[in-house]
Amino acid sequence: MLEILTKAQIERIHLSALEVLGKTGVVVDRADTLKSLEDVGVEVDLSRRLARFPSYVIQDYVHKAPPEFVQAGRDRKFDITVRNGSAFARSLSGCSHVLDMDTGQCREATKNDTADGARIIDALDNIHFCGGWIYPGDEHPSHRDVSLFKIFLENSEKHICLQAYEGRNLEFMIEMAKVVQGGENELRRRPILSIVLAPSSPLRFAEFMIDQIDIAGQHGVPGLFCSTPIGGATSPITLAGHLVTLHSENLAGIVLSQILHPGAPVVYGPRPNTMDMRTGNAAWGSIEFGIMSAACVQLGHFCGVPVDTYSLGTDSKTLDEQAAAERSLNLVLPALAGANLLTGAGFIETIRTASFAQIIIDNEILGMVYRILRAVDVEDETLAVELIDRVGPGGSFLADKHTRRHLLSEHFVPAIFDRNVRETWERKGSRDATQVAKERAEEILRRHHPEELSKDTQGELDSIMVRAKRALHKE
Amino acid sequence: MDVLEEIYEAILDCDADAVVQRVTRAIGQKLEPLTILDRMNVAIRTVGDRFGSGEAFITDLIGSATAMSAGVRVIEPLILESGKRIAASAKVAMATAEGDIHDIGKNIIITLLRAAGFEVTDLGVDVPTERIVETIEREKPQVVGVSALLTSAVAAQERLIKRLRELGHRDAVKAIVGGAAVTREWSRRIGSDGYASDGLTTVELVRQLTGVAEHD
Repeated sequence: MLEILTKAQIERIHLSALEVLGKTGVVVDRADTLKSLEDVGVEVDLSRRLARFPSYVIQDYVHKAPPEFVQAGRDRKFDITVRNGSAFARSLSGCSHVLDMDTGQCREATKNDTADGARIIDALDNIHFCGGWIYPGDEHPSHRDVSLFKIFLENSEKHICLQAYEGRNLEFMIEMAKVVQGGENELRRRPILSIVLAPSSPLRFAEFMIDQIDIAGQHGVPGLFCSTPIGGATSPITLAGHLVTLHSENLAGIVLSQILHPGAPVVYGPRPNTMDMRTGNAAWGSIEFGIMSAACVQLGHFCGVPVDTYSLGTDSKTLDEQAAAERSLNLVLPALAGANLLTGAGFIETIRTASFAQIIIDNEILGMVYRILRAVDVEDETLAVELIDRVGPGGSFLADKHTRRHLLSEHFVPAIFDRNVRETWERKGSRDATQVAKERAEEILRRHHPEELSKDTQGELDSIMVRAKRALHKE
Repeated sequence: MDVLEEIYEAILDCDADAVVQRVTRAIGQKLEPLTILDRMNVAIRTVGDRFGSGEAFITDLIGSATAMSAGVRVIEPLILESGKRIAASAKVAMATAEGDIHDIGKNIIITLLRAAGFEVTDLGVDVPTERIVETIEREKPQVVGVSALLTSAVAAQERLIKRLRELGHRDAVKAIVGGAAVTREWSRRIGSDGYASDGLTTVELVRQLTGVAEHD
């Protein structure tokens, strides 16, 4: 495993975060929550809505978070257990645009794109669950998130992790999730959704976010704490200071959730983007993103919680060398550090734009990274000394059963990347990886149809959606 | 499942022992050796096609070819005894160039050509020009292929073509070249009849040169 921080460095960053939480404190913008915090020993300044966490409160409550839990699919075969030692991947959540498959142009996404995206994720082996990938721009912004969740339930059988705009929106999603999973208890046992919970950096939890932390905890919906400070703007520019800010926010969020609902499933999710000082834009493909993500894997594990890193990021506007280099490096760093959830497949342009070809390529890159994680298996069978002796000098291993037996487990076999000689490649149309990936995505959309929801379930979801639109609509 | 089908399955499973046992049983059931051979050819072509379309690995193809060879060894004496001829689509002779001992690439191509129905003579590695010429005179293959991985060995390809010209055999055989050290430009410069850069393109090239269509 990659250890980008020494043990001493982890401890210093952790102690610095405890100092920030105890001295500077965090804004918690909900009165009854501040009262709950005060009851367990948090120092509260009601006028400033500020909570200062003594280190013993942090230590006591962070350890109430479960080290492992299930994120369920609609189909049980897609259930995953989130815990240290395993690594699962998902698409990112939050694209407003797509690269149009026919024109290649970037345009605002529609409900059709949301549904197509869900079906593509459903078909890809190395992408184990869905992020709320593509937000439908043709739905009203007041309930776009709920609509997205419904479309994903209809078009994929995998678990869905997404953002909700407000507590009420999350409640409608949970209502839908209960229908699909078969009730409150079943949803608690096999939660089909998990929710992204992001503080407002630096060091603030808005009321709408605390509502969601509270609601998720009530229903056993896993909460993914995504501290997202922008290095140089909403955190110090130094990586260590950036990490202290991020670690403080994630610790505060996790502790907050455990005070409100002890044992609530939570994930430590660093999003350490940086400000590009030539443009003032946030960079999600910066190499520092990967470095800090790897460091955060160590920080999260130090606190005993699973870690979700934002990998596969890029600021490129197209599927080019920049996209390939940024996403691969930013994936492999946290993956090697032992990240448990690898998020981010399927986007370009700093999380704005989804690309169906890109997610096919990401599925391939993830396959390679899983191969990296399996490293080298060393035992009698794989050392193959007896085989080497039998084949002897000048012999060939090609015809041996041993080769056939281990081929698929030992070597990654690419589905997209080309290894033909030039003649064959030219005969097949001289297609680059992007073109092959695009054709593969088109093929999935033609052929792959996840199992439909039952008529009753579909009817119930439709009527919840009608109520949600009415209740949430804002002019 | 009839025994021919079982032989077919055993070849697809790369199971040489099962092929031998089932071919022996088929002979016991008085099936014509040539009928058995035909079925084995269908099996190996199926694997060859799967390899060509990316559904099978080269290890499957070689495993199936090895299993089939085991079966052929059982029926070959019976076919020779009966005086009937095994019909092959065309004859090819393959060699690794003089001065080079690398044969993995050549062997893969031989397996692919055999799977495609060609009768192939394997001359081995480090083959002197004169031995290739003798083989051409004796066996009269339609195509002769010389492979070289070492740059120092490609000159042997040029020597062969010159020698064939001197002896007046140049039109009797199509001479093709390949291997990691060989380029299309080199192949043209020495006046060869074709160049291919991997196994599948070699099969295509041989098909073109011999006029043998796929599944002829």
